Amino acid sequence: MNYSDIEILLVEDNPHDAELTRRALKKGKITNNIHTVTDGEEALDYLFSRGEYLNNDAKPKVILLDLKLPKVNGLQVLKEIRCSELTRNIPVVVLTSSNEEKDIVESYKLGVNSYIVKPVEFEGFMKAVSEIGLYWLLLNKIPV
Amino acid sequence: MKNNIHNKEASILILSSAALTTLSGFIILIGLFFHLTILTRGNSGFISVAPNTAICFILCGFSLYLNTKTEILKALTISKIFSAIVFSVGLLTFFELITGINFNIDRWLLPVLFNNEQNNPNNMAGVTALNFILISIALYFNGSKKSNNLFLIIIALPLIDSLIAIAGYLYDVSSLYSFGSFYKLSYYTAGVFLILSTGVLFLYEDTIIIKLFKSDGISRILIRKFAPFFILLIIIMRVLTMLGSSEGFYTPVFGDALEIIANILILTGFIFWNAYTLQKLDTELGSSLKQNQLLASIVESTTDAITSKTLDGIITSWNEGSEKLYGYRREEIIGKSISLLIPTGKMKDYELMMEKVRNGMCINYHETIRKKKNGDIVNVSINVSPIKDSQGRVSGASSIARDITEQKISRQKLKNYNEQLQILNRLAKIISSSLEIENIFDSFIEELGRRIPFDRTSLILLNNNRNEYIVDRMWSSYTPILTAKQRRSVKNSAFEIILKNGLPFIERNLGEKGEFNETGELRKEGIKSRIIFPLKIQDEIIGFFTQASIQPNTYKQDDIDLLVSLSDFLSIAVQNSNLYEKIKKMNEELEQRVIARTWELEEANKELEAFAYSVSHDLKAPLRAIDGFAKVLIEDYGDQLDIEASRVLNIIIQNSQKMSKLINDLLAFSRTSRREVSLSKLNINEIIYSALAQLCSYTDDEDIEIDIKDDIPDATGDKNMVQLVYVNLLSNALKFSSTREKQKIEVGACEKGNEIVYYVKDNGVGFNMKYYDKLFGVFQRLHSEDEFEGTGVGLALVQKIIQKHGGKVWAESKLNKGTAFYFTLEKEREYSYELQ
Repeated sequence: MNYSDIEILLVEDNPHDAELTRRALKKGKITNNIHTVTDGEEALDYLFSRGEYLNNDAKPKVILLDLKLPKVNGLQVLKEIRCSELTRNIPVVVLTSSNEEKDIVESYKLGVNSYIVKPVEFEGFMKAVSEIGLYWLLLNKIPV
Repeated sequence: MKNNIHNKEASILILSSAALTTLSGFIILIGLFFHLTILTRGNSGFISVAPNTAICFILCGFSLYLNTKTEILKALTISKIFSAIVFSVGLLTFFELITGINFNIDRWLLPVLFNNEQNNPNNMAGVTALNFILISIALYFNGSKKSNNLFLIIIALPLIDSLIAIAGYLYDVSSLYSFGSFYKLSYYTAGVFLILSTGVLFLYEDTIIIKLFKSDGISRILIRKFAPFFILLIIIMRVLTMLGSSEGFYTPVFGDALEIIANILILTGFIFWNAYTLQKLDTELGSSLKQNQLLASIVESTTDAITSKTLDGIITSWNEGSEKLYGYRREEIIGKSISLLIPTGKMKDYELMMEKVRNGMCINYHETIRKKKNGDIVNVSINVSPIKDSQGRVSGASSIARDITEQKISRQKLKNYNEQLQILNRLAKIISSSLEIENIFDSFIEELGRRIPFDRTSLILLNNNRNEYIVDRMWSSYTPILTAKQRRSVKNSAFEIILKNGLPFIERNLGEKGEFNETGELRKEGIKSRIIFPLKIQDEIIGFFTQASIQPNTYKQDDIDLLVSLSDFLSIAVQNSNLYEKIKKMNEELEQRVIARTWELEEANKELEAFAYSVSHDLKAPLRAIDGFAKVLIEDYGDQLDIEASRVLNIIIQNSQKMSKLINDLLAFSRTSRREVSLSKLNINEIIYSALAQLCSYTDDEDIEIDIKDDIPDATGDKNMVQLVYVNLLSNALKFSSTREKQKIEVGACEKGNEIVYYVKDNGVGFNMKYYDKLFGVFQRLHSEDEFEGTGVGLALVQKIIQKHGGKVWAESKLNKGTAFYFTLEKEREYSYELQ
């Protein structure tokens, strides 16, 4: 499989949330370049070319990261991303249901670029996600 | 120094005598030189005065004068030379008369006067020579004190013979002035001898006559006033009688009779006067005798020992008190030395005391010891005063001694009592300074050892049933020794007796109260006497305090009294210590429980957090899916759905949204409950306006009147939380008054000391006060969802926040009139309440 054109890595264990996220991104005209992983370990495998993704060297332009994940949780994933030279500069947006102050503070401490609480109502959710895609993929510039 | 009035009179007398004698000598010489017989004989027919007699008078006069001038250098020596010359002349003349050999001393004494043969005068008469010998001896020895009364005889002879001669002249009895060749005295010579010998007599001031002359009282009057007066009177009477008879007024015999009658009258008058004076003196003497007797009886009756002694320490008086105190009877001690009473080693003290007395000082309340006749030592307090003679010289000492043995004993008792108090005081301090029984007892024993000697002491505690005891602690010679805390039966021990009667147990000699279980063991250790004191708490014996000694009869009553007081202290200490131990144990238990409970709470809290986290995350996702996919259905297939299908989908969407709000409110409530209050000074007005700003949708409405008072006081609290309170209360107020045409909301506060009561009032629908207890419950609602939307979490949150601030919240409402919510905050707060 070729991941070279993957622009967004979506880390989300809930398939319905993942579907709604993808729908929202599609609505924002961001379509073919989304890859979804369903737990923290898979996310790290993808980013560091391990396991299933042994041959994948491509890095996404933005990572949408849920916090409550099976195996390795979101904050741990974020920490490893920020620890490695390879992934340090990739923008990470936490996209979670948690509105806990503790999570927000911890995420920023670990160097998150943005922290978005998933709105429960559909319109809000759609709007938020599509704006994230727009902002991080089209407007934001990162070092090459 | 001879400076009193008597000595002055005496010296005047001596001086006049010397002057008259010298003057007479010169007059006689002048008479002889110019042949004026009137100056040498006085009356023709009388014997003329010898010239050497005149010279001797002059020499004697000078010698007498110089005798009084001892302050002039060599005056005494010259006086002695003059008297020696007179002595020699007298002796030579006397020798001439006895042997018949004529040395013609008259001639070589005064050659100028006797160059004429015809003018050969009389030689000195034998009696004159003898008088001169005697007077010169008296003058030579110059009133020296030795053999005073012998000198009185020496001087008496010239005095008497001159008096006899004068009497002879006065009464015209020639044999009185001229008897044989040896006894011849001219009236001149006799008068001058009388004057001279009187003067000389006064040199000897310690002779009886002079003493009488100088003494006070009646004898002085007699000697000084009456004696001269009578002599003069007799002479005058005689002269008058002689003159009267020679003038022919009466015959000499009649004159003599007259004189005798006059003399009898004068003497009778004198006797009567004397008798009167004596009677008067007798009365005075009587009263002073009574006074003396009174004083003597006081001296006798007092229990104090009153004695007097000479400066050499010879006892001169001894009262009954002395007999009682010292044991010596008066007869056996008077005349003996005071040193009999002074114990060896106190001699120096006595000497120092007497030295002071000699210098005229008094000794007051000097405490010392004296030795009794039987050798016992007695404690005395002595006052010693000097005894002075009439001249003011210290001649002896009087002392008053009092037996102070009793006083000393009571003083010692007082001292002991004081000491006891001090010990008790120190022990009280020890007891209050420590609660560790070991510390208390060690200090206690150290303190005790200073006061009461002991060889072995121990603290013995009883078990609860009081049938067993253990030796809790033991000290030997003040150092604690380890004991095996072995349980022993009270039965057949001395403790059993104490448990029965509750009294201290004293064995002055071990075994005297019978053999006990422990007696053998004690005997083996060499214990000879012991005391056991019960330690009581409210009449219940909890243990014993024992003292033991290797000496028999060690404990005095004083010690026992002290130990009784001490055992009371010990009881208190034991009780204190027990209570302390109990409290300590309870405290430890409590702490243990607190730790356990805290841990449980922490665990519960963690679980709660985990639960809240799950709720926030996991409950939301399905809701989002429900809501999301319902909307996807509408979006993607909306045109294929009929009206009913769309309505049902919308119901699904609405409920999922409501569910979402419930979850959010619940999360907020849980978060607030867990959050710590971070205190700061709050500007309440500012908070109210920010809260209103959050509710902005309402504030634009013209039909809403929000009255925020100007003078709302500031308080201390957590800014975010207090703001949340206002948001909730204001939104409630707005919500429940929204049915009113004109909504009225009032926000204010009033101060009550450190507490401030804040309120939010509205004119809304209100509620029935009978449901008041449901008002602040979570998810409790007093209105239907159709009337007013809401989750029922807001007021629960308000209550939670105010409770966390240590304040109160309450409400007052009238159905359809309005509601008022009140809550309190403190003006100043120093600490926050932890999570409850």
